[in-house]
Amino acid sequence: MANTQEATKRPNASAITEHIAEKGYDSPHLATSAQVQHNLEHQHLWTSIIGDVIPGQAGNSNTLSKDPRQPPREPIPLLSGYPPHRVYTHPDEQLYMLENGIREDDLKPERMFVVPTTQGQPWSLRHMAAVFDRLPEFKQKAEEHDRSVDATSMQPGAESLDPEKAEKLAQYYDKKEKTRVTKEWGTQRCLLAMADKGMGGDGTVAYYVVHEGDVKPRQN
Amino acid sequence: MDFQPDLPIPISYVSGRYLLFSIDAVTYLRREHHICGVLIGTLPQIPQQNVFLGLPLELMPEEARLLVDKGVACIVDEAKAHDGMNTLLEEDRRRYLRDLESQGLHVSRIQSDRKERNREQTLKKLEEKKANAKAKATASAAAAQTPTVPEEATSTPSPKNAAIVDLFNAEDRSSSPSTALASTPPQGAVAITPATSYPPLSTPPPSSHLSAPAVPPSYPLFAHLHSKGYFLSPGLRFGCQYMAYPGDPLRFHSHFLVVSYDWDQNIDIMDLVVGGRLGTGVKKGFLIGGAQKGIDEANSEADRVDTVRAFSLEWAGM
Repeated sequence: MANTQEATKRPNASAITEHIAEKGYDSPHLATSAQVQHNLEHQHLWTSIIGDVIPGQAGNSNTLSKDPRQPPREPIPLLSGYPPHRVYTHPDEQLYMLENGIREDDLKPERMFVVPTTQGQPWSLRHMAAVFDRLPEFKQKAEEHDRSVDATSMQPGAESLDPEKAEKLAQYYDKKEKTRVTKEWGTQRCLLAMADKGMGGDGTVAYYVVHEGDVKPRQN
Repeated sequence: MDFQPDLPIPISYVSGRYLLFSIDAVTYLRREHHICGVLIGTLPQIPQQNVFLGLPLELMPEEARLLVDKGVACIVDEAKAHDGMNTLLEEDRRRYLRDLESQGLHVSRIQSDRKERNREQTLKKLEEKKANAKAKATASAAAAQTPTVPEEATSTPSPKNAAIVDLFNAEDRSSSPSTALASTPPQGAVAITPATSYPPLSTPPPSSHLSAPAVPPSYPLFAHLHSKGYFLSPGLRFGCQYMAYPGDPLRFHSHFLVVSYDWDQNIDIMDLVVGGRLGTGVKKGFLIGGAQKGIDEANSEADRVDTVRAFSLEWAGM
């Protein structure tokens, strides 16, 4: 045992770390968004993910503006994409679907919106409100994106349906459009993604559905 | 029984607590104003048990404040209001005692009436049974053609029946003129313990009312949810600030675990996971919210309530 032990080589960084290092984000919050996007794409198999950023109010760094509508100091990244299965169904909507014999597989995929956050990051009601105030704009952006990419790929084989089912589905979409205004089937919602970065981070991301206002819980 | 108490209802302020002692006020507030409070009165002989609690009803400062702001209730310093007890005139005192006695008599009369009615009913039933038995017995006797058997059959049941009547109302059995006994005053009167003291005392004048209760910073969210029809109760047992029920808690499970934050108060992301997870585990939503305006920025609490924004969280299951 005369020869000295070779200096231990550090293992290679993970693909996501390399990706984040390569891209070089302006703000740590935006780097979090890269991690969450990676998780959505490769673990939860979401498709056509796009991003958006609510710009921070960098000017008044120390004194928070008194206007409660103003977004917070730091930028907030947003993500959006299509999950392979429905993530959330309002209890009343579920009841309607049951009564009319509509299964989740019959429906068009629904775009979901995600707010990436990480443990220990500053967060407040102001952040939450800023996110919901921005959502309609981001939604519009996402719709434009969908139109530009492909207009037809989003309809799952509409011609293969029997007419009775198609009629029911048309009624369902009508109703859905109406409830957007009446808020019977819930208000605006998004997913709050929380990435674990403490203890080196094991790559876990927890997802919670956040509704604007009081939306009755699901009875699962 | 839609009793309408005189407004404003006096809420007793006793060493920092807001209490209600009138059962009429308690039911009225629950029915009309969705205020439940917490019953804290226990039995003097078994003070440890907390399954069956009664009057008084303790209100959260938020509840008391809400009622005062609505003009439904007022806060009365209990100790001061009872100063008048010492200066009560002898005549008033006697009249009050006489009043209580006559109420007691009224109650005992109702009770004995009810007993008498029960007794009559059971007797009637027994007679019917006896008649039936007799009819059967004569029929069977006719079949057997032995005259001694029916006599025995009719005579034996009567003492038995008497014993049963005895069991049903033991005191009444001793003598039939029990009603007469009840109407002779002193022994028959039920002792009444009034829960409130405003028959002998006059209702306190508006000038003696205390100011509206001081409330915690979570009050705007409390008032906001209450205005949306939720019944709110303290949330200590469930690990939150308030529980929000969509209807009377006796009929509904709660929908939300509620926690209030100031607009720029830092929220630990981990707290959101904890609350969301806890809520989902018990089939509830986790609701956070607060007023956009701070206490120093708004003219009144009511002003702040209008600026409340709330968000509810559920586990996404992915």
